[in-house]
Amino acid sequence: MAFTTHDLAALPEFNALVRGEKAPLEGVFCCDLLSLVISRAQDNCVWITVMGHVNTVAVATLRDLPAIVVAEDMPVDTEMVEAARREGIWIYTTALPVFKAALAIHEAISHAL
Amino acid sequence: MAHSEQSMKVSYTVLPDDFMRAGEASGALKKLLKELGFPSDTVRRCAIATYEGEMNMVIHAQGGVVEAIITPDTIELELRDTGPGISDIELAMTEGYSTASDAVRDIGFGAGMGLPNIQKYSDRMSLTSEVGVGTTLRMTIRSG
Repeated sequence: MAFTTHDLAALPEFNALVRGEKAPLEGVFCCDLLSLVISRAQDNCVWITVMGHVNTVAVATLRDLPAIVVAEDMPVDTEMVEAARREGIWIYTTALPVFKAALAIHEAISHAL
Repeated sequence: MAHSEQSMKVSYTVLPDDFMRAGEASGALKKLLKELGFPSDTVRRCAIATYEGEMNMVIHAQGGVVEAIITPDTIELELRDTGPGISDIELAMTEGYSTASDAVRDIGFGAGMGLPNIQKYSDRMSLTSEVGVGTTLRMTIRSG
């Protein structure tokens, strides 16, 4: 059974702030530059960033990314939450730094395969 | 919206300095292309190119207009603004070059990848600009 957005919500280090539809997560993409994310993120990946503002949701929507993780306990704007609800994009928060968050998700995905 | 059997013309307004709504025009166009049944690769390339152009109008100009003429096999896009214009287009096209402010960079823009991304993901692009008058970006995305 492939790893999904629901499984990520169940990991203890991650808090699902906004829930969308159940979708498979096959990889992780870490970046804060929006132009790189929109052009290089792979399909069905979860995107880890430290930017909790609304423009991340626009990029995730345009690139069809199902989920955003805001790492390092960085603040998440109300506008981002509202936009994610509207677009059906998952937002997770975590206290983990970007690398550790990516490693935890990568291990969980590998485990589920 | 003008509409005929073979082509459809749509137009979206991009508001100045509105980072809260930035991406709405690209998002609306993407949704329309999906509904029209374009292949996902075409929709994706169009979304990237339009988003980069839209962000340029939000960041550098006082917003502008996005127009798309959609036919079954091509999407012709024209993005027009009445912003400050680009004095050196060749320099602006250089990957990594940006005149965006620190505040804009702090939210993940201004990497100097916008125009190079547009060139990469469109089949044809042309940029005309006059300082003090504005900039027009035209791009063609062929489908399939």
